[in-house]
Amino acid sequence: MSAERADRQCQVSDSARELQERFAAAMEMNSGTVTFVPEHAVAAEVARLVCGDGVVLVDEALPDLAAALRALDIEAGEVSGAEVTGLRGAGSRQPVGLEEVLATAGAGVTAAVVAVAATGSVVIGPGKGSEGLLGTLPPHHVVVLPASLIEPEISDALTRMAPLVAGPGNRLVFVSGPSRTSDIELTTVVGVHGPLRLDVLVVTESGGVR
Amino acid sequence: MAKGHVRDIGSEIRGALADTAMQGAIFRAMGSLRARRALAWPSVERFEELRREARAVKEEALERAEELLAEFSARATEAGAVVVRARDAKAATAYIGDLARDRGVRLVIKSKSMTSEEIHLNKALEAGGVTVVEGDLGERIIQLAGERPSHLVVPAIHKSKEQIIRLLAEKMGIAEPPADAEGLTRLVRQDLRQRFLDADMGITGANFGIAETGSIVLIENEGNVCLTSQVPPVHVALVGWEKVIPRLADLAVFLELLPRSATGQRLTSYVSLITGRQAAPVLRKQAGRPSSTGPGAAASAQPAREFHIVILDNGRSQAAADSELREALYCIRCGACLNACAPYNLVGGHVYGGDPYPGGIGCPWTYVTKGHTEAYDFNSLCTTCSRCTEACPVKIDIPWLNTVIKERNNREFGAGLRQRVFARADLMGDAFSPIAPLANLALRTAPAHWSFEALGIDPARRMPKYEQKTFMGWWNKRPARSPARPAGEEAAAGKVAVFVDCFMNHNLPEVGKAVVQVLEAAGVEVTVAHNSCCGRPSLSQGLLEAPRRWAVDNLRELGGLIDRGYDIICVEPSCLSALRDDYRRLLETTAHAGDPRIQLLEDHAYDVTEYLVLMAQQGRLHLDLAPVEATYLVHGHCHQKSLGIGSAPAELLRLVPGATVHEVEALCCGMVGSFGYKEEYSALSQAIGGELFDKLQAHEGLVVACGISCRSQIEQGTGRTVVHPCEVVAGALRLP
Repeated sequence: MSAERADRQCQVSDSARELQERFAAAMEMNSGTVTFVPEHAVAAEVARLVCGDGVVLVDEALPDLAAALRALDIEAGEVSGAEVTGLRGAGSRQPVGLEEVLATAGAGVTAAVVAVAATGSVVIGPGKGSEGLLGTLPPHHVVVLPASLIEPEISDALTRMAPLVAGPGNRLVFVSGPSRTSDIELTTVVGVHGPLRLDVLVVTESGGVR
Repeated sequence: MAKGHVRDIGSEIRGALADTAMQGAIFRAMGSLRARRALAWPSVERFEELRREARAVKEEALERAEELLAEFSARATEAGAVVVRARDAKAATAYIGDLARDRGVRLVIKSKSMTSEEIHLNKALEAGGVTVVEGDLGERIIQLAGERPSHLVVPAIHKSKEQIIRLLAEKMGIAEPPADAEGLTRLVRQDLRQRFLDADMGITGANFGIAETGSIVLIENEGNVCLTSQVPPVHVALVGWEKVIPRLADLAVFLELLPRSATGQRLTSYVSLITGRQAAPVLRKQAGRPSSTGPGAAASAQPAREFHIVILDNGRSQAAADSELREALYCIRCGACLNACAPYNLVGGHVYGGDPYPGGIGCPWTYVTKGHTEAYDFNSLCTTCSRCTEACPVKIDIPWLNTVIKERNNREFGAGLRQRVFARADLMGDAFSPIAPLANLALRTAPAHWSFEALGIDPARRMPKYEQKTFMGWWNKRPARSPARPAGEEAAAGKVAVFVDCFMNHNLPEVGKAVVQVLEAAGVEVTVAHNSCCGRPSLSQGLLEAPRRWAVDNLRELGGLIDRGYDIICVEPSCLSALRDDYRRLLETTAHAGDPRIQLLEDHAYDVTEYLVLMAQQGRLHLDLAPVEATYLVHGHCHQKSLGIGSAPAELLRLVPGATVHEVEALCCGMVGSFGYKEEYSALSQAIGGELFDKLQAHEGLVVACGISCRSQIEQGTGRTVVHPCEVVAGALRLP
């Protein structure tokens, strides 16, 4: 590798690192937490975050995560459309209707399609499944975000997600922190109709910067 | 009640001023929102850049509205939405009501939508036997209270926590309600959760529509919009006719601007872009199937979801075709204008507002959607101070919109005598100055007070004193000046013509003299303009014909001076604001629209403090000043702030060696021209001034203010002497 090329690569990774840092700082200002993990440690980290939450619903866009969580003794099911598979339920692992578990599920795990460093936002969607509900109804929302999807500004994110916006039935949601309100005397309260807690896992090749 | 009125605004104001719980709640919250917003921007330049961009998008969007709506409808329909156009409130409520009946809807969950408030959607649905539950916490609170929103973003902000505790305890039948905001929020979460799951229909508004993709955009914090738009099998979005922007990429600037302007957040917790009918299947319970039919069995038989988009016109397309009102439609409903508005801060959106649109922007919106009569009653609560325009992320000239509505009201019902009197500061000066000692005495006698009362002027207010020796009298008698510098030496540091305003000339000639003295000491060649009244006193009464004439006269006079190398110096910031901000609008419907001298004047008219500070910044201000040992408390004029020169008076004073300068931050002095003199607004004016008075009284020092009405208000409210910054500088000049 030429010295020049090595330099350039180094710059690229420096700016990627800076982007990740900016994203994390902004998300933390939004009352969300950010953890950097390598690919192989995602299941273990999710398990740590959702431990004690009870039933965990995983979006189908994260293949194998539900099974990996079950292997770690977490009661996790995979959501596809309006159905959940893999939950023990009454002893079986037959699919059950999403409506049967939504009200009691403790956590929803979704996959981000893009993120914004400047505002500390992850974008989930495009809504073919029920990830919108997974990120809204359970009290705890966990988002898995590949580091390469972090864009500097909102405008960059819109450009990147444009192909996903127009499809019929598509729903993309910028999530910037847990649900919140200031409706009573402008006192900020976290946890209204959506989650009380938001955790973002930034998946990096190396395990990341922190 | 006077012609054209349906509300007794004076008594509503008195009621609001007596409601200390409400006042405290609003005043504190607005202060906090302003502080959050102030921290939200990386820089002033960035904010300006963004709002220029946002305004350009809105201008294009309204210019191409029908074309964009057609494109939006086509894209949304392709994506499985049913798009309908509703001409008015009746058509919109009928469509949604019929849909609810056809689908057997019993329970509707609704998210916060001003547009739905505008058409009284809840009432219409309830009349059809449907239960409507508001999902947004603030909206739920006011729904339980049986009220309408008082703010665009925080609808229940007029209620104190204690009032909310009592309300929820009573309506929800709770003996020991939680005592803090967090507990109350959890209580409502629990209460509403099952209703989100049980609702047969979800109704939302939309912050934006995107023509290019057929998407609607919903911006929120609580998560209720996410639930409302995707849990129930039927989703109805009520979208204002003006909301469609051309391209997906255009959304970026609004996502940067709206949350920051509203709550100081970089982005709200949730921003949803929804394109067409949801693909995710209806939850089986909602499809009316018991889950015991067996896992997976029902999947193929589930009914499809429905997504209806109702585009509401209700006066909007007509307003878009009205060049004077169109910019009201640029509003993105962030509420920053309300937070910045002094009268709103004191009386809130129920008094200062229509049904349902609050505040200064609420007046044109009420005019557009409800008609003239409902709008006019609260129109005069806009003092035209322009602090809202300064805060607006699309730079809507809200004071101008209110001026236009006032003018239309005057045309329809005739202007009152009081309006005609206040409009003519120039004539009052011409009449009273020559007989000043007598006039000043007469203005304080009982018969004068009786006639004030008859006119609707608060008799407790003291009119400014008139001076027999006017500024112009002094100027004309002044010995002819020898050139500022003997020939051969360096040229004058600048050439200015002082705009002789009615108040400086007749009431405060000493200020004018100090201004001339300071400018000449700085080596500036000074002359005076032979101008007409700037027109502002008349503008603020909604009497625009005379100001149109004067504006043309002034363009000729001042334009001629500028051509001869003079800059124009204003002493009264409100006059400067007329020259720099209002002439363009005032003349846009006349043959003088586009007169290049309008731009020339905007570029060459300065506030005197701004001019001197600019000279200092360029290293051209050389004044021989004796050190002082004094403290100055500077009150910034609203029009200086809205012109972006709010700190100039303090900066000028800081040039005086030894001066200690405090800028006293307050919303507004409350007088704002004739506003505080009017009988129905006098108490409100003094209540607005209260914040400033308290802050001034807490400090020793000489009070400094630039505007005549600020001066009168502070003198009457605190008994302190007030001077213009140039009087301070003139006093420190070491004269040869």
